[in-house]
Amino acid sequence: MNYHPVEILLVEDSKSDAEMTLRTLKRRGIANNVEWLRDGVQAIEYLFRTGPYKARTNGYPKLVLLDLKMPKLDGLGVLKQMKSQSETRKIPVVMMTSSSEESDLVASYELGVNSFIVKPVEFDAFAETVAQVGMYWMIANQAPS
Amino acid sequence: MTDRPDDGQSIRLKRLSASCAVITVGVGALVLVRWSVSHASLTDFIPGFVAMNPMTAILFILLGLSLLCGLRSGSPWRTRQVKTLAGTVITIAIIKLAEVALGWQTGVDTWLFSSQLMGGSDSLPNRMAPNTALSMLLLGLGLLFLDRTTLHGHRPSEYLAASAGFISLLALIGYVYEIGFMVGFVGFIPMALESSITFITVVIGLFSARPHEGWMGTLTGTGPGGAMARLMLPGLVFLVIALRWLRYEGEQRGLIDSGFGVALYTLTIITLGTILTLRAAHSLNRAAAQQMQLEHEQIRTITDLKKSEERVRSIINTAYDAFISIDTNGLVIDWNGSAEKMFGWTRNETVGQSVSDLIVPPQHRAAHDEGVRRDAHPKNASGNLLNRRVELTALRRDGGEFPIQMTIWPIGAGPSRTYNAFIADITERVEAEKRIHLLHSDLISNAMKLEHSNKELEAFSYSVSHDLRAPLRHIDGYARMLQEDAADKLDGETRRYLDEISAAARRMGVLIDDLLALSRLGRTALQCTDVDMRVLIQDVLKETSESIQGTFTIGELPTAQADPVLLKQVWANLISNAVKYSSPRGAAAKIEVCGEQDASCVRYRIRDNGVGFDMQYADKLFGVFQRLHSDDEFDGTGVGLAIVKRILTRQGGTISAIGETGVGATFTFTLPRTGRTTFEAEDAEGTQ
Repeated sequence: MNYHPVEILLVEDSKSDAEMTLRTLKRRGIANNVEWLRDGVQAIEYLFRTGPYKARTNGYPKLVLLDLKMPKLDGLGVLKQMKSQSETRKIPVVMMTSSSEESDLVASYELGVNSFIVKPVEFDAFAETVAQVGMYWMIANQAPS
Repeated sequence: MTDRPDDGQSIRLKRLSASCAVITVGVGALVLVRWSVSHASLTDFIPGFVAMNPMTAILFILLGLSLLCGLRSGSPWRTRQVKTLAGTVITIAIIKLAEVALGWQTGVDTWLFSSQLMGGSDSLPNRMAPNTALSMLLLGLGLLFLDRTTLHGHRPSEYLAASAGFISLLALIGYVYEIGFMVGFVGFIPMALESSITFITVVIGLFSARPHEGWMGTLTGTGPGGAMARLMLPGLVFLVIALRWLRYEGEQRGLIDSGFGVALYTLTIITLGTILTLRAAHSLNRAAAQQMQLEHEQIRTITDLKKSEERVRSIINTAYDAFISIDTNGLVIDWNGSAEKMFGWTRNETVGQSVSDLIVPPQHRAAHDEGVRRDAHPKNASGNLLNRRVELTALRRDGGEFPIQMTIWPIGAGPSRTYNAFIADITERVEAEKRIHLLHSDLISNAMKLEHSNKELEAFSYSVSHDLRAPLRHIDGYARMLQEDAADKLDGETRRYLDEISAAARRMGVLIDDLLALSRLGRTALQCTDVDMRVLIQDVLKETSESIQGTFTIGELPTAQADPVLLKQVWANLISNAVKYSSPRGAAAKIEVCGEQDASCVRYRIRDNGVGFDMQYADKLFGVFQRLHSDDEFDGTGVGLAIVKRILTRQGGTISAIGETGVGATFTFTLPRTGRTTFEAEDAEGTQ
């Protein structure tokens, strides 16, 4: 098992998006330990150590990158559960979506999202955005210990 | 004419008449009794005066009985009795008179108590006096003709009774004034004193028997004549008798001499007679004046009434609504011209007919009749249809039914109560209401459809933005990653292919973004305020990424009433186009913005001296994805002007363009002066 503390939890149903995100984070040297999960249900099981992640011991991630539109449980559902539990409430959550739908934006902020990002279509812009988010939350931002 | 309802006066007079009859019978009977029990010397009623003949007494009894029978007319039996009794009196009187005139000696008046009648040698035998017989004849005839009236309205019985009264009064006055010749014919026995009094009694009885007819009718009448007669007659009679007595007494006692007596008597009669006449004339005049005034008032009242009636009738007849009036039996009393037109029945056909048979549809007739019957009954409260506006169905003559609005109000109570109604034909209104209802439900269903399609559109755009953008990102992403990872293995041509892939993906992304922007325009609510166009344009110029090489002139710009955010988008797109298409001119490029306003709208114009366009494609300018230039010449998705048009249409504005290839283009848009928003339908049209 992996005993290294997880730095970033990426919840993304699109394999391509996940690959592009992971590549950017690693290439820019922002995070090496990134856990990638494919949907919201897995994310909840991981965070609250249930199901296949019951025996997990590597603590909580420093940042959660959450896709909005996902099968089973979407980003808003995951966000809601995270922000309603004391042990996960303090983890910064960045919502990443393909388009800026006003209603999604409002719902996310009402649930306590820490940041809301629209993924650009151009890869360069996309990579730059992911890098900035990672740099900011992992390095610039001061989180409670 | 005889049996009018008896009032108090006529009852009293009839009683007087009956009393007179009884007294007459009584006197006659008394005289007969006296004759039968007394010696001749005692037959003098009053010493020194002649006594009443027994036959005269019998005739008085007959007269009295005849009068009693004649008091109430009408019964044939009584009429026969009157005729029999009066006839007997007349027969005997005629026999007596004939005896006197022709010198016969029938001795009709000496049949009874003949021995006693012959009397002493110093006096005339006690026979019936000729004037007594004449009076008997006259009164007998009077009774016989009691209810006879001539063609000219005279009653013979009155003349007869008056004549008899005159004769007997003459005798009575003769006794009073002690004038012998007045009491009887010379050489004949005079009328007995009691006879003369009894005759007067019969005369009074005869007049009183018919209190409301002839002279008596005049005397008892309520008119001014009756009043005058009642006033003058007793005065005149009393006056003459009293004065004559005073003069007689005065002369007898030597207080005045005969010549002076006559003069005084005459003068006093003239004076008092004049006073009486003047009084009567005054009261007659007053009564006549009152009568005249009453008549005037009556005429005025009747005239006023007629005028008022005419006014009401003309109002009813010219009323636009139908007017119908019915009685408590539901029968038509009134039916105006509008009612004739509305129901097809004329007034003459309807008056007196049952209104429910005429205009109430058969299925409602029972309820209508029951309503009228219940309300007409005094114990019931007013029907629930009265005094308020009701809507019902009515029947026309041709059998067609139609909706009416009507108000019924009752007038009066009891059998004279009427129900009056103004009725309006509301067919058109009801039809209009039906149409409105239909349109309304259509509108609701359309609105629901629209809302449904809006929801679908929203869902569509949501999935477009998510699901279409992701693959584009991946295309671009992998192309870039390939370029990064295999940079050294790729030649220039291969790298260009990868660049083309990326460019195509990005372009698609921009198209999707523009399309979404266009679809969102219809969904955001308008926030209209006064917009300073100069400030708005300067903002746009500051934010624009393109550099303007030529000159940009801002002229006069009126304030607009519009949504500033959307209007900024309009200017941004128009300015961007002008800059883009005039860029080939370099420093010579000229862009000009100006505006003006008129009564209904504000108008803005942006002119450039760029590449322009061919006017035959002008209608394509504002279509979605419609372009007049290739991407190679000018960048663009063909959505910008569609967005502009949509924004303006939504705010009640318009846009048009004129251009010439190689010369330039001018775009002109208008906005209404009051911030009006158009309907969604117009909006939807704008997107086509």
